[in-house]
Amino acid sequence: MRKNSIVICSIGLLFGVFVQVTAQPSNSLYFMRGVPQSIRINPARQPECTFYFGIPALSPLSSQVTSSSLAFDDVIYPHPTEDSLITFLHPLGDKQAFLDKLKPINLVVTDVGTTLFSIGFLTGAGFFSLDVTTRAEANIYLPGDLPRLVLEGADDGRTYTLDGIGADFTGFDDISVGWSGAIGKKWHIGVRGKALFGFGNLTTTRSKLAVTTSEEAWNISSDMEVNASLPFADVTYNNDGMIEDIIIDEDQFNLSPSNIARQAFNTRNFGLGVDLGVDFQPTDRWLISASVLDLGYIRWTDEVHKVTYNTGYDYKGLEVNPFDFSETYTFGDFLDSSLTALGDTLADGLEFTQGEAYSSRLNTKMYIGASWRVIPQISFGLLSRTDFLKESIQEQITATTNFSLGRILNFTLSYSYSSSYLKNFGAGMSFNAGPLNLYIISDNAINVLLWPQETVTANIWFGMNLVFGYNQFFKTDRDRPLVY
Amino acid sequence: MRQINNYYLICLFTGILFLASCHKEYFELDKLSDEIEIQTDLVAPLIYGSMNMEDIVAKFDSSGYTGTFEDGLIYLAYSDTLVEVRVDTLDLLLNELYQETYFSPEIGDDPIYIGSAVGDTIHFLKSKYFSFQTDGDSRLDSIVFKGGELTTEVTSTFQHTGFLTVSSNYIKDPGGSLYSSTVVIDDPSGNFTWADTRDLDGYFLETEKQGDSVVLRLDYDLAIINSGSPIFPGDYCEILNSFLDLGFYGIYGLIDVSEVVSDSGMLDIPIYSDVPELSHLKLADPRINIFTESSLGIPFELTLDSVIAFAEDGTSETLAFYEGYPFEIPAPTIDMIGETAYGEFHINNQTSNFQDLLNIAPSTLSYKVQGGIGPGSDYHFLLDTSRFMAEAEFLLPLDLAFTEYTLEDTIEFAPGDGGIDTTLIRDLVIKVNSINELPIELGLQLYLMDGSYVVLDSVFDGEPVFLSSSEVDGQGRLQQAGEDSNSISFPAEKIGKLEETQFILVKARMVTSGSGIPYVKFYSDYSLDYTISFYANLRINTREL
Repeated sequence: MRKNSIVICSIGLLFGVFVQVTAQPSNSLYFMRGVPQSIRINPARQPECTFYFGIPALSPLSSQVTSSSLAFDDVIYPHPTEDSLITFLHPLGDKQAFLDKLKPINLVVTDVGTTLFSIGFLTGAGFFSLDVTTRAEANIYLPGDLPRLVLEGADDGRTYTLDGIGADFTGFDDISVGWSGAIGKKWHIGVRGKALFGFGNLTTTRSKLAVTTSEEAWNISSDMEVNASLPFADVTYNNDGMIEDIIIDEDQFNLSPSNIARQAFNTRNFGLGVDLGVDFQPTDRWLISASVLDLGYIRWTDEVHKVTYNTGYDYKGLEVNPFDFSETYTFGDFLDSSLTALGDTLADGLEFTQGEAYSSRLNTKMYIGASWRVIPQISFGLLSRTDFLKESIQEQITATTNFSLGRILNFTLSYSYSSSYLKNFGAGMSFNAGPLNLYIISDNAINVLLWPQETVTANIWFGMNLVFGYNQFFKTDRDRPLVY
Repeated sequence: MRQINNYYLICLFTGILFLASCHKEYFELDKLSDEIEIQTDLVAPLIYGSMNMEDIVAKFDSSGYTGTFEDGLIYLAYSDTLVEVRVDTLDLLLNELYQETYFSPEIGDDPIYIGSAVGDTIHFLKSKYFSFQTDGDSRLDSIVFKGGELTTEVTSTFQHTGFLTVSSNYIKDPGGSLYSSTVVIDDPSGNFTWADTRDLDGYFLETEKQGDSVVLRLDYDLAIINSGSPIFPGDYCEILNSFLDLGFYGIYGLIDVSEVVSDSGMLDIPIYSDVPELSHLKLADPRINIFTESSLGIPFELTLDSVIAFAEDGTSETLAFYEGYPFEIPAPTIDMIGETAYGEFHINNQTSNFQDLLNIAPSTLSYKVQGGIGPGSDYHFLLDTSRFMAEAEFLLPLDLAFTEYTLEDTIEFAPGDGGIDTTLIRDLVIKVNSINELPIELGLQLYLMDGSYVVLDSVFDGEPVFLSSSEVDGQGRLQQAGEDSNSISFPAEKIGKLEETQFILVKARMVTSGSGIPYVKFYSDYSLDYTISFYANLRINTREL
């Protein structure tokens, strides 16, 4: 069992296929009723209540992982003849199938978050909301040529392009204030401003890396830059300017409120962001909407470090003059010194710089959707979501069917096309008992249950709110569009 | 309607849960095999480098036997001192020069004595020669003594007093005065004895040639003062003179070395029988240079007669000189006393057929060496500080050809206590590229052998030319480097044999450019450039690690 864990972890580390909770908005939420946090995905929305209060840490608690290329069963699958599981690295595993699945750049995009404080209320000037959220985002970029280099080997005359390799990790808290209001009878607009406080970051700013292999020479060329802000760690450098040690600050484990507040709302890593949304209802049955989330950046100045690696090195072998060897200088000595020199040469391109501030932007998302109400209890929606990542733009299309079984229960079924995977069937359910509102939503709920081994994207939103003034919306709802 | 919807929903969720349970097998990670196997290719350069002739020669020349001419041509040189003589280290003492002189009873019959009155002084004179034997035409003219002594012992039974004077016109003291010594005989009892020793250091002796000897003469003057006593039969006066422990500061004359420098014999030359492959080696320009330094005032001439090389196949070659022969060893002339004269003699293609002697791969060499008086002055000298040294320099320019030179050696193949682990390698190809400016072609074969020296396999197929020789022009100089690319393939089967291999038999064959026919020259800037790369097909299985 321990070995199995090692295998899984190794594979996970190698290919970035590991599960992590995220806070990416669920597409299925976009058209779903009965969830106050729908304003998170479109600031123009107004929850169907006069007041809500999110239960801390549960409003919402969410998770997501998206792999652009690989699913679980690309890595692990049943042994063809025995009652066991094997990895693609097993002698009977299909390594070529694994490699065929890879794209030039393979992404694992995740983020995680929970809301510490969430409140919203309706006034004559519109609906206002205030949220305090902790978020962490992690993007891993893995060039397809890297596993090819490992599995297929270094062939003569091949160039392995590893451009784009890297990772971005960002952790921050945001305090957001949102407003939505009507413009006439057909338009609603919304905006949410965010103050961002970063508590840690690692950003791959530049990533150019190529390895050319041949029997004459190996060429390694790179132009890489990674920036990091590590307020939680004490980084020490040696006389050569290389990092000597990284020690986690013991203050991290001091759970006093003042310490937590100081670390959580670190003004030295400050940023701003904004979400924008608009709803347009041309008829009673149609609703057309759009939103842009996470337009913003964080300026990192606290405990910042920069690592650059620039090299253009031709390894032509070790230069040997057999006559240099003697009883006091053996081939082993030569090998030791040569490999040390080789390592030093490669390390020459490595440079650490301390204290250079930098900025990182948020992963911006854009939603464009339209819904059509068939009857008051049923509507259909179609949503386009575009993620503007650093190395690529990812597009998802989601179709939803939304059911409203009165005030107590709302649920939705969705189908999403994303990451070239066709079987993304999602579902969501919102339940109200008195002021208590519970909801759980996933864009992949059904396929995770039916074909968990094939899933390349998985997310889940879970939330718990205290909602007041909900009834008045349902009483008048008979004369209102289903989605509003 | 609502009941129907609920029914459908219940069926839907039940079905989903049922289907989900079908995929449980994917997540029973306790059944996950930990076996990982990667089969991958790897091609990479291993090593590269360049060796030039200077490096190669230096490696094998820990004693400094190599050098380069101005044009870069490499040569092997070996110098050794053939002769070094310091006169002061030689035991050249003159001893046993001894002479007895008697003045006998005939004195009593001498009419002068008979006619003399009591108190008269009567002189009796005698001379004696001391002889040095010389050889041949040698002639000893003079000696300046270094140490040595002349002893004189006198016994007189005459019952008279008198005096005895011993002198020589051949001996001078350091002040230039002729040697003379007088003994007073003051005891008329007939029992007179007397002895004396004269230190001869710094004395000068001038000799006279008489036949095959050189001589010096001592003169004796015995003066008797008539006491009136008779001279009885049996009375005598005996004088014994001995020259003892005579060293010299200088000897002057004519020294004939023909009797001294004369030798003949047969030399064994085992190198060709010990290394028969050398018989394929032809040297274009072997040289022997002889350098002399002499402060001996003896010029002489050296002749080499009947120098004949004999090869094991019965062929022979006689050394013949074209010029610069015989060797006249220079020496300082009489007006250059204390100085050193230098001589230089060359045995090479221009002066002799020495090359032909070596190129028959001789196993023996007969010789006869004869010294003779050199032309010029007949006046020689020898000082106690004189010195003679002859040094020979054997110079072999690497201008040569060999038709075949094979090396064979068995080396132990000991990759370590744990042996060699070949489990990871399925196929291995080592590629060797070379650019060879050396005019040598190298054929190489390596045989893998087990502990019983049974050949398991060969590393190369056939007998490949591992290094092609460079092409040379008519002067034996580089015209075009040889280029080769050799692949040494180790398929899995052969790799497996490496595990059993305990010895490797190395067979190397070398031949100079043009199949060893033309002479080729080796210059210090010739280089051998090489790159070694490999291709490996690896199979890494965690179960086998």
